[in-house]
Amino acid sequence: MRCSLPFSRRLGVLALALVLAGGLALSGCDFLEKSPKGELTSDNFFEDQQSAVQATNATYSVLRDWQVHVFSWLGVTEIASDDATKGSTPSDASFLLELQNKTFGPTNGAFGGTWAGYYTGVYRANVAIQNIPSVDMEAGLQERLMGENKFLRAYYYFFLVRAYGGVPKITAPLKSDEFEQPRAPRDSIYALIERDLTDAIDALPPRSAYGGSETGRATQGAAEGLLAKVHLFQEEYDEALAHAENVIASNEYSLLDDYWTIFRPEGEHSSGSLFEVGAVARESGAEGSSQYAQVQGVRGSANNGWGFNQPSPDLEASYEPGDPRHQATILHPWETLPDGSGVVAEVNPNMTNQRYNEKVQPAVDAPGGSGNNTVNIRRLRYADVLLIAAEAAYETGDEATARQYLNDVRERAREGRSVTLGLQPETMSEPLAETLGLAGSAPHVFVRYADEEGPAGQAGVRSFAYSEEPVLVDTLDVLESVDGTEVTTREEYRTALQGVSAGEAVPVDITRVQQEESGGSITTTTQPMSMTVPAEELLPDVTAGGQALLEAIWAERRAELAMEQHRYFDLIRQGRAAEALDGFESKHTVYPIPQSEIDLSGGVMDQNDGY
Amino acid sequence: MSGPRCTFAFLLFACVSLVALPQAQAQATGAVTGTVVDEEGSPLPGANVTIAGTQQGTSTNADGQYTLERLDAGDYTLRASFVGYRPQEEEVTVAAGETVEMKFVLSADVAQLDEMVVVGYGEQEREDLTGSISSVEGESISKVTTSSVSQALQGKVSGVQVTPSSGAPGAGAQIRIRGVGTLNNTSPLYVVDGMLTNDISFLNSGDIESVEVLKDASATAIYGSRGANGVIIITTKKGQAGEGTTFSADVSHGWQEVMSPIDLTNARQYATLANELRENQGQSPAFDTPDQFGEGTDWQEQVYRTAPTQDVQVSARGGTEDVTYNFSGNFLREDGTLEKSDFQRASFRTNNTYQLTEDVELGHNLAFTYRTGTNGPGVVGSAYRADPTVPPRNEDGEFSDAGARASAGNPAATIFYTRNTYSGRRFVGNLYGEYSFLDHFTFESSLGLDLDNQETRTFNPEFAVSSAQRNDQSSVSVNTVEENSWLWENTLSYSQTIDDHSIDVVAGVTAQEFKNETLGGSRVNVIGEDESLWYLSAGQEDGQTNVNTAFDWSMLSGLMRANYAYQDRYLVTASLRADGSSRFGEDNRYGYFPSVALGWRLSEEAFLEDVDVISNLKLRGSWGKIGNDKINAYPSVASVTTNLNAVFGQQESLAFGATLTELANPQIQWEETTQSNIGLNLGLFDGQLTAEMDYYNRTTSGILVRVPIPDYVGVGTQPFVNAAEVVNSGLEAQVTLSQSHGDFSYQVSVNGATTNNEVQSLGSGKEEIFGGGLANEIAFTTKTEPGRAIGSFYGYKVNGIYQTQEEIENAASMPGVEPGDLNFADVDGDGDIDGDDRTYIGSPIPDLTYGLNLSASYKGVDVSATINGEMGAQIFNAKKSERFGIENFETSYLDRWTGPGSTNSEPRIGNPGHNWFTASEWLVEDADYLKLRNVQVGYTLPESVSQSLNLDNLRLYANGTNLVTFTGYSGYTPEISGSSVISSSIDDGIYPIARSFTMGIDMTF
Repeated sequence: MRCSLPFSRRLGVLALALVLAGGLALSGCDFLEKSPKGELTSDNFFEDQQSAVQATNATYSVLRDWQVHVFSWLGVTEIASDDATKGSTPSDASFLLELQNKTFGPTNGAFGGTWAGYYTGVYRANVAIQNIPSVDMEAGLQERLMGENKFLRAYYYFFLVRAYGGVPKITAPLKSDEFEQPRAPRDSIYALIERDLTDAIDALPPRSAYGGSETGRATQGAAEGLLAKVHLFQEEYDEALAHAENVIASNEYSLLDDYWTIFRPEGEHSSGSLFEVGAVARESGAEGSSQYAQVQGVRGSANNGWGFNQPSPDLEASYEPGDPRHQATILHPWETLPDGSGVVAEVNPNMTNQRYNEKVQPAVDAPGGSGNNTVNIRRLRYADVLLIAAEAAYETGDEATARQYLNDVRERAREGRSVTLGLQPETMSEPLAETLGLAGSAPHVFVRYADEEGPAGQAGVRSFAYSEEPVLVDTLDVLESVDGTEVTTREEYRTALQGVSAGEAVPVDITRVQQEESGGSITTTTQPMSMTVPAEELLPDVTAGGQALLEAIWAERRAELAMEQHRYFDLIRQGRAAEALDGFESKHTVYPIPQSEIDLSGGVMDQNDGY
Repeated sequence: MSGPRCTFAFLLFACVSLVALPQAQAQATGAVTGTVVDEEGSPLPGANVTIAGTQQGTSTNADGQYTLERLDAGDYTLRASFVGYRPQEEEVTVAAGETVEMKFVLSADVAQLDEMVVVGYGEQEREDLTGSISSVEGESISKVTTSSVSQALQGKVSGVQVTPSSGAPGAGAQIRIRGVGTLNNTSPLYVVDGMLTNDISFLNSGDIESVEVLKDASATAIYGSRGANGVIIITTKKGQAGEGTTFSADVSHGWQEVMSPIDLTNARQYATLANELRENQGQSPAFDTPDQFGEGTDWQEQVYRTAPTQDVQVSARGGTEDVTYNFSGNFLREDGTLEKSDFQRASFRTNNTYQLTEDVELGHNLAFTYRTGTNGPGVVGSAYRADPTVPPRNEDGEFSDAGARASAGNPAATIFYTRNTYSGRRFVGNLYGEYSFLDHFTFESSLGLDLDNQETRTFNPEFAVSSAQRNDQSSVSVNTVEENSWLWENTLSYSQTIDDHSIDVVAGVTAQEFKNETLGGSRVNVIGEDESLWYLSAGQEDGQTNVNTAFDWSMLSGLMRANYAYQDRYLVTASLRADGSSRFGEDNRYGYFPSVALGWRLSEEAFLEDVDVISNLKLRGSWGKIGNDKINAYPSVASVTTNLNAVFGQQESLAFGATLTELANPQIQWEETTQSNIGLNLGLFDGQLTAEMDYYNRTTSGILVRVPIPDYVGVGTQPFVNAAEVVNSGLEAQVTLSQSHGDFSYQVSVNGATTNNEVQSLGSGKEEIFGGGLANEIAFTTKTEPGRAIGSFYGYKVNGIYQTQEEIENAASMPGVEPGDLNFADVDGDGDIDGDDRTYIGSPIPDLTYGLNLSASYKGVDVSATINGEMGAQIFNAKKSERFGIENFETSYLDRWTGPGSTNSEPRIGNPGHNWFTASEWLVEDADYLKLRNVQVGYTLPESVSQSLNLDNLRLYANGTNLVTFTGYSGYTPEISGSSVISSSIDDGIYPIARSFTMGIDMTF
C-alpha cells in the first residue's frame, strides 16, 4: 500500500488512532462502576431463604462472644456477687476487682464491654426482624426465624435492663440521623421483652419438635421459661408462676438424675436444659468456640485456663452438710479435672484463691488451645424454672406448691441417698497418690472437707491441710471402705451409703497419711472408725413455711445454680445485696451507664443516680 | 545459596567486570591545558573542568589553570563550571602526544536561568514558577543511609514533616506536607517518572535524579482529587544524548544499633518495687529478699543487636545522538537491630529514549525490584515489660517462664520461635511516545504499569515455655497480595513565544484502574519445622483456612493547564482537572478542581535593575481547590460479614451465619481542600544567597469521618460521612547560602515551617471524636473537636501527688484515691473529680519543624550534614500505663512517692486501678527534639591516584545517620508516627529507630 504521509506523520496518526480507540473502549464499558468482590452487600443480601437463616444464625453467634458471655460479663454477674472472687493473680485485670469491691465507676471497662456486646446482639436481631418478613420463603420457617430473633432480642435486653436499668430502646437498625438515643424507662424495656417473648412463644416449636441437628435453637419452652423469669424480676408472681408451670406442664423437660452430668459434655442440651449456648472446638479455631470456659479454667500449665471467677470461701461455707453439689461446683487442688484427662488442678502460688469453677473446666486437648473451647454455656435450666415456680408460688400464697417444687430440686441433689457421714470425698489425683506412696492403680478418694460437728468430725476424721508444696500434707484421710464396701470412687461412696438410714452406726476404714514437714517422712496408718449417722437427713425435704420457706428457696437457688452467673441479679432482686455484699450501696442496684456511651450519645443519655 | 545472596554475588561480579573493562583499552594519549577566567579576565581558582558526559575532570589551581592528561586521541566536549557562573562547553580535538590549549571565559549566572523544575505533566523554568515547589537533588538523598527514599527526605524540605514509621529494616515513613488536612490518610501522592502511585518503597535512592515537592494548590490541582495531601514528583536518572558511557559503582558497608535504650530497673530494683506494689495492694511480697538479686537480665540487651548493612550500586549511563540509556542495578541489605528482622532488596532499572525520527520519540522508564526479608518478632513491648529477675534460660538450658509476675512472657523465647519471611516483586514502569508537530505542538501518550506481588509466610512451631507462652499445634500460613494498576495518559501541549508573550498550554485525558487481591491460607500440625516445610501442603487438611478478597477502583480524568508570561515579568498559571472516581456514590461521581496563580518578577522591572544586590525577586500568589480520595474502594455500600456462625445440634456443628454489620452512605464523596498561598523568592549577591518564603492557608472541608457512634447502635464499624472541616496555616522559609573561596566551597541551607492546625467543625452535630484507646482499658486518650488541633491529648491535669489522707479529704478528689496517687485538677470547679474534669493536655502536631543542611568541600575533602528537629508537640507515653502484671519499671519509678513529702511528681507504685493509669498529664511528655540526622565525610583521591587505577574518579566516604538526638522524651525515639491522625504520637512500644554507620567507595570509570 502506498502512503503519501511521511513516516513520522504516519506514526502520529497511528498514535492518535490508538488513543481514540482506547478512549472509545473506556467510555463503552462502565469504567467507573465497581462493586465489592467476593462478598455480599446491602444491595443483594436478604434475597432468599438462605440469607434469612444465615442472619438468624448471626444473631446467635453473638452469644459466644467475649463481651457477651465471657470476661467482663463474668465480672458483672458473678465476681460482683458473694459466690466468687475475681481470681487469677492479684494484679491481673484489676478492673474486675473493682466489681468485687464495689469501687467501680462509669469508666470501668467491664460496663462498656458488656454493653457493646449485648447491643451487638440487639442489632443483629433487629436486622433480621426488619428484613426477614420481606424475604420470599417458606412461611413456617419464616415465622420460626422471627420467633428466634425475638427470643434473642429479649434475652439481650433482659441482661441490659437488669444490669443498667433503663437503656436506649432500639427495635430497628438506626439510621445515621437517629444515633442520639435517650434511655427508655425500665418498664418500657421490660414491656418490649415481654412482647418479644410472647411473640416467640407463639412462633417457636417445642423442644421435641426440633430435629437433632437444630438443638440449641430457641424453643417455645425457652421463651416461656425466660418469660417466667422476666416476670419474677418484676415481682409479677402470678405471671411468673403461670409461665413456669406452663413449662413444667409441657413435659418437655425433666431433672437429670445426676447433678454432675449436667456440666459434662454428655450433659449438653440435656432434658434439663431450656436454653444453652452451643460451642464447639474445631481444628480451624475460634469460629465455633467460646472462651467462656478458658477464662475460668485452672490457671497454669497444663490446664491452660486463666483462673478468673473463682468460687468464694463464702460460697464454700454456704452448702448444707454433705450437699454433693458442693464438690460438683468447686474444684480444689490435687483433684483430677472432671474431663477425665487425668490432668490435675495444682496449687498455683501466684493465686490467692485456690478454688475453681468445676462446672466449666475447659478440655485440655482443645485444638489450638483452650481458647478454642467446646464447653456450652448453660443459661436456663429446668431446676431454675422449678425454683422460679417455687418462689412465685410462695409469693402468691401457695406454700404447698412452693415446697413441692423446691423439694423436687432437693430430691435430685440427694443422689438417692438420705444420709451423710458429714464428709465429702474427692477423687485424688495420681501425682498426689504417688507422692504419698499410695501404691496401686486403683483410684482413691480422700477427705478434704469434714464437718467438724458432724459424725465424721466427731469420729476423728481429719480433713486435708496443705501448703503450697504438694507433699506437705500434715494429715490426710483416705477413705478405704464404708460399711464393709470398698470405696475408691465418689460413686462408690454414694452407692455404699444408699441403704444406710439415720441413727445407724456405720463402720468406716480410713488410711491416715501424715507428714510433718515438707520433704519429711510420710507415715501411713490404717484405722477403723465408727460413725453414727446423724438424725438430720441429707438435704431433707423442706417443711417450713413463711419467711423460712422463702429463705430456703433462696438458699436452694444459690446451691443449685452456684457459679452459673445468676447470683448477683438474684441478690438485688431479693433486696439482700446490701447485707450479702461488702461495699454494696443503694446506688449499686444498677451499674453505671458506660461513660463513653454518655460521651458519644451527644449528651442525651443520663447517668444512673450516684455515679 | 538463597536468592538475594545470589543476586549480591552477581552484582559484585558485574561490578568487578566493569572495573576490569577499561584496562583493555590503553592507547597513546594527549592532553588539554588552559585557564578558566571570568568576564573581567580574573582567574577562577577551583573551577571544575570535566569531559562532558563523564565524571572525568579536574579543577583549576590558584591561577585558574588546569590540565587534563592522558586523554585518548579523539574529539571531546569540555565543560567548565563554577558556582555562580554559567557553565560553558567547548569542543577540542586531542591528538596522540600533543597538548591542546583551551581557555574558558565564564559569565556570571545572575539568576541561574536554566534550572528546570519538573511539574505535573511538564517542566518549567524555576524563574517562571508561580506555585510553591521545593526541589531536592538526588545526590542529597542518596547521602542518607536508609533503604527508604521517603525517610531520606527528612529535614530537606520546609513544610514536609517526615516521621519514620518504625526502625524496622525496610520501613518507610509517614510524610505530612503542610500539616494534617484530613482525618484519614495524610500521605501525599507520588509520581515517579509520570506513574502515579501511593508507595515508593521500590525506589533505590541512587537512581534518583531529583525530587520535587508540590505544596500549593497551583502546583497540585493538576492532580485533582488526589492532590490534597501534596504531591511528590520523583524523576529518575537518565542518560545524556551525545555523551559516552559512564560506568559507576558505589559499594558501602555499615552497621546499625539502637539509638537510646530505655532506662529500666534492674532485678534488685524491680524486686523492691514489686514488693512495694504488692504491699500497696494489701498482698504478701513477691520476693522474700530483693537484695538477693543483682543486675539480673537486661532484656533489651537480649533482643537488640548491632546489625550489618550493605549497599551496592552499579550503573552505566550515556547516549548517542538518537539514543540515551541508563542501566542500573542495586542490592541493599539491612539487618534490623531487633533479632530476626532483616530486609534485602535488589533492583534493576533501565531508562532509555529513542529518537525514531526528527519528530517522534519513544522512551521507557522500567524498574523491577525484588525484596525479601523477615519481619521481626513483636517483642519490643515484652522486652520493655519483662521481669528482670528471670534469666532468659533456666540452668537446664530451657527457656524460662518469665510470665509469673510480668505479663510479658519470655522475649528471647518469642524470638527463638518466630519464623516468618516475606518477599515481594514489583515492576513499575512506563512506555511513552512523543510526537511533535506544527512547530509548537507535542502529543504524548504514556502507558504506565505498576505490578506488585507480595507474599508472607509464617510458621509457628510447637513449643511450650509456660502456660501463657505456648503453641500446642504447629501451623503455617501463607498470604499473598497482588496489587496491579495501569495508567494511561494522553496529553497535547502547545508552547509558543511571540514577542513579549509566551504561552504554554497542556491538556489531556487520563485513565487509571487499580486492583488489589489477596489470597492466603493456613494449616495446622505441620509435618516438620524445616523451612522447606513452610508450605500449606505440609499441614493437615482438617482445619485448614483460606481467604481470598479483592477490591478495585478506577478513575477517568480530564486536565488542562495554561501558563502565560508577559515580558518574563508577569506570570499567570491556571489549571483545571475533572476527576471521575468509582469510589464515590453515583450522585457525586465527578469532581472539578480549578486553580489560578499569579507571579510578578520584580527583579526584571526597571526600578530594580540597578540594584546590584538583588539578583532575583519574585512575588507569587495562588488559589485552588484539590481533593483527597484516599478512602476504601466501596464506602457507599454496606458489606455483609460472614462466618458469624452459630453452633447447633447434639453433635455440635457449625451453622453458617452472615449478616449486615455496617451502615452504608451512598452520598459519599471526596474531601475538598481550598488552599491559598503567598510566596516570595529572593536571590542576593548573584544568587549566592537565596531565600524562599511562603504563607499558606489550607481549608479542608467534607472530611470523611467514621464518626465513633455509641455502642448501642450495635455496629462495630461506622459509615463514612463527609463532615469535618480542618484549617492548616503556616509559614515556610528556606534560606540557602552558597559560596566558594578558592578550593573551599560551602553551602548552608536552613528550612523551617510552622503549622497551625485547627478543627473547624466535625459536621452533622458531631461535637467531638475520641480516639487513641489503649490496651489497658483506657477507652481513649485523644479528643478531636472544633477549636483544637486534630487528635489532641485529652485527660486530667495533674496538680501533684496527694501527700496525706487529709489532703484528699480537703480537696476535690476521685473516689477511692489514697495518699501517693495523682492529684487531679478540678477543672470544672464542681468540687469533685469526674469525667467532666478532663481537658486538653497536649498536641501531637508540632508547631515548628526545621532542618539544616550543610555541605562543604576543600580540595578532595567533602563534608555534608543534615540536622532536623521539631518543636511544640507532645507524646502520650502509653507503654508506661499499659501494665497488666508486675511489669518491669522505668527507672523514673525509683523516685516514686513513698510517704508524705517524698515527692510531688511521681505517684506511689501500683498497678492498674490507681488513678494514674487513666489518661493524664503524667503520661504526656514533650516531643521536642533536635537530631543530627546525617553526616557524611568523603575524600576524593587525587586524579593521579585514580587514574593509575584506571578510574576517572574514586571517592571514599564514611557516613553516620541518626547520630545524636537531643530530646527530653524518655522512650526510644521522639519520632512516633501513628496509624491514624486522630490517635497519633501514642508510644506503645515502637521498633526503635537505629543509629547507623557506613563506609563506602564510590567510583566512576
